[in-house]
Amino acid sequence: MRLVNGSTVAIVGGGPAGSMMAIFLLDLAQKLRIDLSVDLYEPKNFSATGPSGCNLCGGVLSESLVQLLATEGIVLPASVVIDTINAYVLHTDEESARIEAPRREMRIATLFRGAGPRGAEHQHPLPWSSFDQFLLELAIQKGARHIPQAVTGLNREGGLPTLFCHDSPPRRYELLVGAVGLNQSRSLQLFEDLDFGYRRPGTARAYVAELYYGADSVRQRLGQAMHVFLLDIPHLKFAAITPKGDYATLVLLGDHIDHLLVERFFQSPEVQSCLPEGWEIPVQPCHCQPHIHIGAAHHPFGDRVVMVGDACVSRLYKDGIGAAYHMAKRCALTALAHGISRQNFQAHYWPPCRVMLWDNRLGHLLFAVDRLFHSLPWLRRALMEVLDRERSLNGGPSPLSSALWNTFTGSASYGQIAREMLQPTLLWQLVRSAGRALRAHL
Amino acid sequence: MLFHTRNKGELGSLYQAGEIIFRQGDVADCCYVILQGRVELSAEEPDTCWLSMEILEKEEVFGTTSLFGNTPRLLTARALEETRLLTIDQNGFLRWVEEDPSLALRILLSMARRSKRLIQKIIQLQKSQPESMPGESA
Repeated sequence: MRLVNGSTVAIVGGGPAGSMMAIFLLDLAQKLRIDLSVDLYEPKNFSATGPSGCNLCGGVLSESLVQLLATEGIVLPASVVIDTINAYVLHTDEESARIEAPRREMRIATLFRGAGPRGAEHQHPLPWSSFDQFLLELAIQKGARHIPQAVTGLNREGGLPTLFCHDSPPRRYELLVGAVGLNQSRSLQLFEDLDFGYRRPGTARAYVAELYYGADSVRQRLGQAMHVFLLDIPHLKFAAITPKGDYATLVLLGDHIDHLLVERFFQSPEVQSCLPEGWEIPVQPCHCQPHIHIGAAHHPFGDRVVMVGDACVSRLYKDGIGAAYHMAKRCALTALAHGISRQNFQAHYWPPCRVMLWDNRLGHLLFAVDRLFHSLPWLRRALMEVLDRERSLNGGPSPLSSALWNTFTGSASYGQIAREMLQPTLLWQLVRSAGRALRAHL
Repeated sequence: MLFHTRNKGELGSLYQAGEIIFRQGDVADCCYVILQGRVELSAEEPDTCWLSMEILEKEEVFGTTSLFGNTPRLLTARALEETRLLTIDQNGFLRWVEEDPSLALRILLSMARRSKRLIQKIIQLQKSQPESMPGESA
């Protein structure tokens, strides 16, 4: 069961996972001199503003992904990069600490997945372009055929996956790729109803809002830094505000995010310091509550069918686009170099997925530890004390800053972060500071 | 809603025309991707002026030879015009290549293209030399 000259591939979903799958498939096929036909099904119009043209995400490209894409020859055009980040500011109830990028270079990009927030359409032409549209166009340039139709049914005829759309005859393909987002429930259901036993991954809900500050206020209040908040608010696991041109993007992650939690977040003094003077929370900012990946999908591949991106496996709470890049590339390599049977995917595609799933388990553990920092003020004080000490060393070893940088940027695996955090010197410093802070607290 | 002229950030670091990116003999801990502009790689020979080896353009990766070989920089890199570069860290780069050997393929193809250009340049240089008799030093 292999892809050969004249083979056809259908990719359902034209987000980053789908477009990158098409790019890597066609690129590798060209190197192997295999003539492949790739159809990319994506009905969404990425040039529409608001949630209808957007794949519902905070829109931050990690430091490692920016480097990897550039090494691949995928250079992000200036119109796609809305802003760049070279620092993180950690806010607690007592103080704030700034963690600078190791090289002081702009290597984190903020962008819009669609054409921008609802309300931005008043500006013609828009001064930015969609990241997803950029990748889709790159896939088309590589030779993929974009079919702007929603898939209405999936079946198997004569052993080949068959795809149905309204007003067009069924099409049979040698390989079917599910690059469906976790918010596309109907499309996920189609794959669950197919014969390979697929079940979508476990999800949680995030809250993402684009807040209009105006470019000057964004620069003044946020600078070129992502602001992360360590707040003792029940159910809140992670909160960040990121500069994005005229907007500030708010991302909240937690168990149960409702309007009360959002209001409480805005009322905290640490957050108020990042809001423009006299600014009022918009009654209805452009916002969404997307599903995010927290568990594993069941049976994400079968004979001639495979899932990539969020529908298969992703990184816990971070770098979803980076995970889509890695998985799409591995999937394309497996399909072309090894084959498209269930056994081929099991042997060559599943191992890196499994590594990511184990790493996510470690991530759950790290977030449980992080919860302690949220709820124990003396522990937060100890954390800030160690950070202060590292900053005063000016160029000396700074394992905590490095671990936090990797946590916030999504550049490293949770395993790597845990190794950094478990360095004996750092642990000793944390324990000593925690002891002092606890004594003062009591 | 009023929008200001976009005061956007740009990725990477900006080098002015003529600015040295790295010098021959420097310790190498990264390689670079050209996001915008042009970079000249040249050899610095004692008592002679710089010998320009090649000019690289947008999307090309350079500085990789020293990373693979763990050797000092073989050539000097200089921005020919206002140039924007993205730095790729050595540790990350070597780890990614180990995890995904197909990434090395792109670097190899880029190196092969550059070798071809250098070979063509050497052939042209030899052609432009006055013909020497066998046994006579050039």
